[in-house]
Amino acid sequence: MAFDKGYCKTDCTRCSEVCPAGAIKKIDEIEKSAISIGHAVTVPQNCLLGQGVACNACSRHCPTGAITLVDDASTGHKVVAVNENTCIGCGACEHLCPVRPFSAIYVEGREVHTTV
Amino acid sequence: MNRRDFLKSLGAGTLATAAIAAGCDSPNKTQAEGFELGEVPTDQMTYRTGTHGEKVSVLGYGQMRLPTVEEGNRDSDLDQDRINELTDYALSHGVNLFDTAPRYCKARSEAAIGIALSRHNRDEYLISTKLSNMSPDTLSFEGSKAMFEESLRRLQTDHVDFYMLHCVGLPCKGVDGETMDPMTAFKVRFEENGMLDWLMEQRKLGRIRNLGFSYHGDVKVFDYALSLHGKVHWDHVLIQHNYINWQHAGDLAEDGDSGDANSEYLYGQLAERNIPIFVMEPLLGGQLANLPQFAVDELKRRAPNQSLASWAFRFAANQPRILTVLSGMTYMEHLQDNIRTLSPHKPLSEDELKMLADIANRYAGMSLVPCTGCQYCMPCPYGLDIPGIFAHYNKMLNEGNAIKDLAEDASSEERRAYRKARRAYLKNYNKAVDPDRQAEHCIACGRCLSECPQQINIPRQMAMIEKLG
Repeated sequence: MAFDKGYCKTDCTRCSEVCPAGAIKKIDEIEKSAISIGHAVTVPQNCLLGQGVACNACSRHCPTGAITLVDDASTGHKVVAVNENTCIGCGACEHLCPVRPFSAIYVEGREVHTTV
Repeated sequence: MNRRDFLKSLGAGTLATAAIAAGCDSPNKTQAEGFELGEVPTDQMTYRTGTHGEKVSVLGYGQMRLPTVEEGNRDSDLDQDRINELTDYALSHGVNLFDTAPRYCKARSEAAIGIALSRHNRDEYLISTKLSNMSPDTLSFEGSKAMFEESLRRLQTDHVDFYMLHCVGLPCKGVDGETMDPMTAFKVRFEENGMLDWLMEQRKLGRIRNLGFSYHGDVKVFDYALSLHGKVHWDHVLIQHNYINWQHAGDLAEDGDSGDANSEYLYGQLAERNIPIFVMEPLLGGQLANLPQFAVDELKRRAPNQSLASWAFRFAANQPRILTVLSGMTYMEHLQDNIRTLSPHKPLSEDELKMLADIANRYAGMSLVPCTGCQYCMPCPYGLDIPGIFAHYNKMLNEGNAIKDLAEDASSEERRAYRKARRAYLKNYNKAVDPDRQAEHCIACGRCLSECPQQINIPRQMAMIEKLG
């Protein structure tokens, strides 16, 4: 996945429909909503929140509600927190993060897909 | 695998490589450098010392949740290629203890790990397995002895580093098919058939290097086993220990059922006798990685990029007499995360311990079902997916989607919320558990009752969950 171009939309199963080799298993939308292909990791030093900008692009666009903004225990500033067990790795956060060229949140892929 | 790593390993995409190089020089050094989490250390693992001077990695590899070929279906064949790969990775990153038992993964675990480990030198790893003689045909001396010899054969070795009497404190069925109480079960399984004496002899012969037991359930049997310490000299004991079990083990059990004793008590008794401790269920069957939102917020506030599981591992390994913390890691990401957490182990501060105790207090009041997904209750003769049903129920409570009873005079707002929660519940239920395997099919035959190490009253819980549907 190249998240700078877009992200893996929860209601799309196109790749599984068109794959001619059977390498991508055929799934429906309901199945897809519970499949995790990675999990997001934050890069606090890139994040606008650290510069006093009130941004919530990642948490607002997270389809599973895995991203929350919490008060950092040491500084009291808001920081981005990802619940790695409910994150499905769709990359909406990475794609929609306004920080460029290196976004303040990115997806670590999984070796094997898991069910959440 | 990080996709940047993947690109790197391909050596493809000069653009990507250029970006990486640029990233290193720019003040904005982050993702392009690889990733925020850093490399998985290979030589930083914390080691602790066993009774006979063994150096044991504080992260032990539990073999009860091995990966299967068909993802998510634990009945399908074990995926030997992935098991080999995970084993090699664990060994090369400092994990040297592998814990199994004859009955794990429907009796396929020992053979699978035997294949994976026998590809390495015997002195590079330590094996721990158990005497699971809780079915009527293995209660006799011959039956139990055969089980030990079979373990050696499957593990492709001539000695076991850590051998344990399995599930001390649980009831089991006698030769007449009647259920024996936990104390009688202990005496019949280990003492009256002469098995304990024989195992001590094997220890003298070096076929067993350390002899211990694993405990669940009735604490009287734990105390009794410890009273034999003067004669047996237990080399190690395996207990269930995590920040919930420390003081709230009893709260996890239902009214009238005993459950395990608090691990604070168990730890104290063992530390007093200087017996090294193995820890099981550091994550309470994964539940401490899937925490409710209040706990997620509190933990992430302190360390946004530390996993929820890492706190549970730091707690489990925090006490000095803990020799190793066993974790059944099905996925490479779990293994990597746990290696990061314990390479080296970072002790918890007073303040952090207090925070975990506060979380435990609130968590224990949530009345989740303490199922750890061990699958001992399976297969259910009536086809229920018992662990799957409990996992769904707990998930629902964790996500705040519990269906509360609707009052007669509920407002239209409340009714709407109720309908929404109910719809979400039923839709997810059917997705998580095949309708033919749901709670309503339980006939309360009770076959599962003596199998559950957590002593969950499964038929009663099924009746409770059925009412929600």
